[in-house]
Amino acid sequence: MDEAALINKAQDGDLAAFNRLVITYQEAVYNVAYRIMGEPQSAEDATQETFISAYQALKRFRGGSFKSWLMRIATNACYDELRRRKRRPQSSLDRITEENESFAFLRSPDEGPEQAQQRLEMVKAIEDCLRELPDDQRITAVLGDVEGYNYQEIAGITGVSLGTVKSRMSRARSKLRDCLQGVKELLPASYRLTTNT
Amino acid sequence: MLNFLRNRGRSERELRQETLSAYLDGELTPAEHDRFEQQLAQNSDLRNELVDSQFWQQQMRNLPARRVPRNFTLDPVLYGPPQRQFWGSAYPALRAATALTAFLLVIALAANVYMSSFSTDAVSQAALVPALESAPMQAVEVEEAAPQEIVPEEGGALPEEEVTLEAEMVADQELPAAPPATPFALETYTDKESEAAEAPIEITGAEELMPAESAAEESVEEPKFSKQEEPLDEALREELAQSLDILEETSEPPLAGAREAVPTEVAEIIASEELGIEEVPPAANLSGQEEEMSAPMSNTSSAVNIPLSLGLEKLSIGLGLLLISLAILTFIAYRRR
Repeated sequence: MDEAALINKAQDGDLAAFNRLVITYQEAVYNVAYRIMGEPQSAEDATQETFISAYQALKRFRGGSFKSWLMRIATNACYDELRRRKRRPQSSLDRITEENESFAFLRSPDEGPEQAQQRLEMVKAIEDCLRELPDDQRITAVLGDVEGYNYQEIAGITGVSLGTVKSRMSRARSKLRDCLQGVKELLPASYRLTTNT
Repeated sequence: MLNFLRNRGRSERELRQETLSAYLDGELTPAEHDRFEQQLAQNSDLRNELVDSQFWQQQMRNLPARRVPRNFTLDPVLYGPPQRQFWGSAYPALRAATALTAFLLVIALAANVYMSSFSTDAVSQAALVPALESAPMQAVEVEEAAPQEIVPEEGGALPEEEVTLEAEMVADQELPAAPPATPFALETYTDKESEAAEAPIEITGAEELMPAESAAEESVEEPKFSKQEEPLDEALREELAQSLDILEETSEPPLAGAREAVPTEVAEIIASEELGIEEVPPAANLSGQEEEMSAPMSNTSSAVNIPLSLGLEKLSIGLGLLLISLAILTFIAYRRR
């Protein structure tokens, strides 16, 4: 059954059809939430809240990109979760423990342990620098650079103008570049050459 | 112009970074693209920044996707559809039912108002009947002695129909020229004329009996009075007509004067006929006739209108309560659909 038929059935109240959509998009939504929130527990809460809100608002979906519509709900859920987290900040120790458990997937069978370690450090550095960005710039950078949305789509998801998206993207990349400059210098030249190609 | 306003207060470096970022994403216009490439060709630092930006953009695009820690599917027990389906499907029906109930309520209220005004007219007519009864009864009481002066010389009693017809004539206050068929009626009628002038009473029910002055004269000739005319000859008719003319000319004749105006010859002629009027209380007959004629009319109309208006009132109240309930349910269905 194609996506449009699943959406129609879900709009008619078929929860099983909606859950099939959840299975299709839950990984994408979770990864966006994770990049924005910076840690797994908040990302889980934001993801669950996204699908609950999507089910309740499904009748208002009038067509177009279902993924973009889901991402908009996910972004708003992340905003709510960020405000909630500011009221009860999480300890850094808990965050590190959770992150170590989730990095197990990064290991690839065809790469050596040194390369795996370098890749792990790179990923952690990027995620640390993303976490340092202001919320608006981080969301824009995740949607643009991580998820690959263009400026128009980012403007629709975040609900801001095209000029604002350009400005936020520029500032986020500038800060990331400054933050990751030291990490890049520590990387071996071979790594930099292979990743540039 | 908006770009100019937006770029005010921003450093040249910030503007250059933004242009570089847009160039990286292909968001520059053709003119801006060409201008920036010229700057790249001339500025090595700008080229180094572009290379770095491209590197990190690539790294971020290659970030590995994290596996979901669990399934995020919704629990059917918590998010099952039946309730929402019920409200969603019930909303159009509730909305239509609310509109229909409002329409019926408006019609019921309009009918209730109409019936109330109609029953008010019937009640007013019924209220006039006692006034009508009291006026002829007063006149009849005064004239009780008058019929005694006229002693029927011949004949026996007239049929009761003639007596009732005389009572009808007496009941007409607006027709002073109504020709009485018998001495009794004539006497009472003359007295009534004076009282009618003092206190005219409009009796719509009596009009059905004697609609107009001319009609009153003609009514004497109607088959209804034909039995009285049978024993009267043409001479008597002429005399009656003369007496009517006399009565018309006199505006407010006093009681005694009215009696004098009535030719006694006529009374004697009438009395010479076989009247046979016994001592029947005229007031009773008169009132009885009037009651029979007017009361059924008002009683019938009021008897029909009162239960109907009560029913309409109850219907309006019921529809109003139903409308409120449906409106509340419709609002709930609208919010929960």
